[in-house]
Amino acid sequence: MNNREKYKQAFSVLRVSDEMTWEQIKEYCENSEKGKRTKREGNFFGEGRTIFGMRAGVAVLCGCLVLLLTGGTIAYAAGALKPVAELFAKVFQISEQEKGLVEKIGEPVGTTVTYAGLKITTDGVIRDTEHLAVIFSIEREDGKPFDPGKYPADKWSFHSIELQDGNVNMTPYAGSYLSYDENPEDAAIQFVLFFSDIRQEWYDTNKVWICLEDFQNYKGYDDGVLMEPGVGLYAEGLWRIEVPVKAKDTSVTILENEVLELEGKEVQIERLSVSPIGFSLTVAETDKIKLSTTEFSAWLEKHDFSLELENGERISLSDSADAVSWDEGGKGRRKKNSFVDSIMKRGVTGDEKEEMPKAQYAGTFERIIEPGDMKSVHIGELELPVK
Amino acid sequence: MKMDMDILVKKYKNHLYAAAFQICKNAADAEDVVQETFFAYYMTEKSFESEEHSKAWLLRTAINKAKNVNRAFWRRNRVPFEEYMTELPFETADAEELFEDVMRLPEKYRIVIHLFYYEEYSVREIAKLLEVSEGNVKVRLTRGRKLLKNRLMEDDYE
Repeated sequence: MNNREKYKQAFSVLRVSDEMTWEQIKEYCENSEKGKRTKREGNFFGEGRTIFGMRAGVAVLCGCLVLLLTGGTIAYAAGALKPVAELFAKVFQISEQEKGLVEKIGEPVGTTVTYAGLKITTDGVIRDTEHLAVIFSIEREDGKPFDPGKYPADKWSFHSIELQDGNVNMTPYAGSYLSYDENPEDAAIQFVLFFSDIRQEWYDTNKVWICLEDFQNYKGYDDGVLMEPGVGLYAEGLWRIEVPVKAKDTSVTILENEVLELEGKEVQIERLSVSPIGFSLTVAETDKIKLSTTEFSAWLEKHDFSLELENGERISLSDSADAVSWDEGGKGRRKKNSFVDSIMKRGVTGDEKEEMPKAQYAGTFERIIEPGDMKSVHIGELELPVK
Repeated sequence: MKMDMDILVKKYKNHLYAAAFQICKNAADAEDVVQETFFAYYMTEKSFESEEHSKAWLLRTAINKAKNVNRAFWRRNRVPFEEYMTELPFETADAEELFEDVMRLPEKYRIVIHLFYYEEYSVREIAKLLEVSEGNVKVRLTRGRKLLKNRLMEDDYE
């Protein structure tokens, strides 16, 4: 059997249902709002779109696809760095009261990586033992500004974003991003990444690497408009950026290895925790309790899953779709929900033994919250105090 | 020229599904991509020179849409890839192993390998479809094969 035959034999198993016909497709698509993806049985299409290629006439900064370790330059900021509360002020709407906490869990970084005509500065990080927010300033190496008419500040992204500990991808994790222009007077835009449910105990070093590939802008794509290929790639390359993550443990573990009964069904909670930045819930299967993430996800969506604060405010932990935007100095959109569920078998590095399947739900809050202000987490009818 | 939609769907739905699956690694997302791609073809005002031209456009659109879905970072109510694999009717153990090994590759190598071996596109055609350079395609093919530990040995490119 030649290679193509081998490959085709392996991949011939990928087939859609014979029942998929043009009539069915047309009816499904026309019944949705024209061109818009629909939310179907809890499916969630997050923000972010990938549009490739080059439009004629658009200047593209090109570089070889090589790891930054073999090229590019790294520089360190000269002079004073901005306080981290100031860096993240717009992202987390940090109040005066929260500044002290933010300074405790964050740090300015100030390293710059330059490659393929693009300069990416890691301005600062906010992290705890389970969540990480990183803010970058991105500008052209030649100092020319991005044209906001051609490249809206809130539509920048990268084709691929990965978090690595050494050379290992730290998956799964929840993540989201946004871009905006903090100061239209300068040539840089800001790009913010949020990662959730990445546990400090999983990595030995006090740093991780964020790999950003192919910088692009999604102008020309709006929700509901069918994407046209061939638009948006601005700079081709791979930027691998070292980020300090040694975190103070400000998280509060609410539950650990406990069985909850939810409407007559038992669920093994491996861990439920909150921190000033976000929350994390891991549900595991055991020998006795079988897990169906589909069922549990569906259940969670229909029931209360929220954080109650001491002042009575409730923050939904399973909400989706709402965006936060602001106008001063630029616009940003951020999904309220960073929600992931994935059943996975995570093996321990160097150990062939596989752990039992788990489902993880995690996300970052829209603002920093003092654990002392958190009263309880509600899951369905259960109220679990945040001690 | 545009092809008849019934014929197009029958003929290419599995091709689009396989390509989208390479990126989404998830059956539900890949199916959505297939449907949206056919609808996009139906709605576009573009005209196509030939059936091959239509197919290339469909594949490129499906790949881009799949990348779009993937960019969301998160999923809900998805059958995980490992679980989905247990449902697939592989003819042989070798076929299953090759499938698993390919699906473990980084996405950018996977899609190039898929277009080369499954769709039988040349390097030049893949470069045009993905809108990258031919050199880029060759590098990705080489690296992809290396990572597959030479399960798929080097072929003539054209």
